[in-house]
Amino acid sequence: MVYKTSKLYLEDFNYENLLNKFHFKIKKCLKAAPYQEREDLEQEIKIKIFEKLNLLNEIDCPGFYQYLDK
Amino acid sequence: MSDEINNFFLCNKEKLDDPLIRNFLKESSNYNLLLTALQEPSHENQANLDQAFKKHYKEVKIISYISKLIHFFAIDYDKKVNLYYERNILSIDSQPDSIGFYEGEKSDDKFYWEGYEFKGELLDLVTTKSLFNALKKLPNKQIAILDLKYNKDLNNKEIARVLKESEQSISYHHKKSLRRLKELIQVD
Repeated sequence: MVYKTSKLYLEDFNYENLLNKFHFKIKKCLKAAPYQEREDLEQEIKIKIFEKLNLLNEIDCPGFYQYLDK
Repeated sequence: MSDEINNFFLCNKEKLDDPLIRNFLKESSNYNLLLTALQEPSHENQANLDQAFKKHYKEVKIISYISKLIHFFAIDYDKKVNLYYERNILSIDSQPDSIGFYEGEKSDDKFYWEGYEFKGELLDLVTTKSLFNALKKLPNKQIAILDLKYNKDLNNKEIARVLKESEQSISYHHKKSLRRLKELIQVD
């Protein structure tokens, strides 16, 4: 499976890298869920992240001086 | 020339204390970008600084967004599942005592880790050599805290109960040990 979105101008943040980065965070959240639900929850979380990926890649970033002036 | 830099730091003192900017400048390459942009305020230097900052900003925003997303999504999902089971009760579910799903070791009435003594379990799990050496240099108490926290998955409150210390001191030693580990690994 290849996940590619058109507007990725920060190469580092493609879907797989993000999932790797958040692997342990997801696992930690799974511990709170009942045993039978963990697999489903993990999948749901990953789908959710994928859905939000486009939104995240369109975040408006201020430049350094813009941020200072804010 | 250094006057300009000093001036800049004085004028923007408040803004530079902002955690986002502070962490951005902690990276020495970013700090150098800022210095060059101040010394030679050419278009290119400023653009470089802007670019680096944008990247940092985006990274921070994405990470915070996703970790919140995961956290709250897990909670919502849990609620949804609970609601579903509340409404669709299986008669077999009503006798949990006789079936007894494995509930983990942390039952509250009988505290499992009471009388815990650190015997090096955490060290057995480490596969990175530099981390292993760094861990061995930590005092016993700190490594015990790390073991309880990351291996046994207890929270500060529970660790405090096991080691019979205050929560604040656990938190302090935990942070201190992480800082020390970072230093030791960087030296290697």
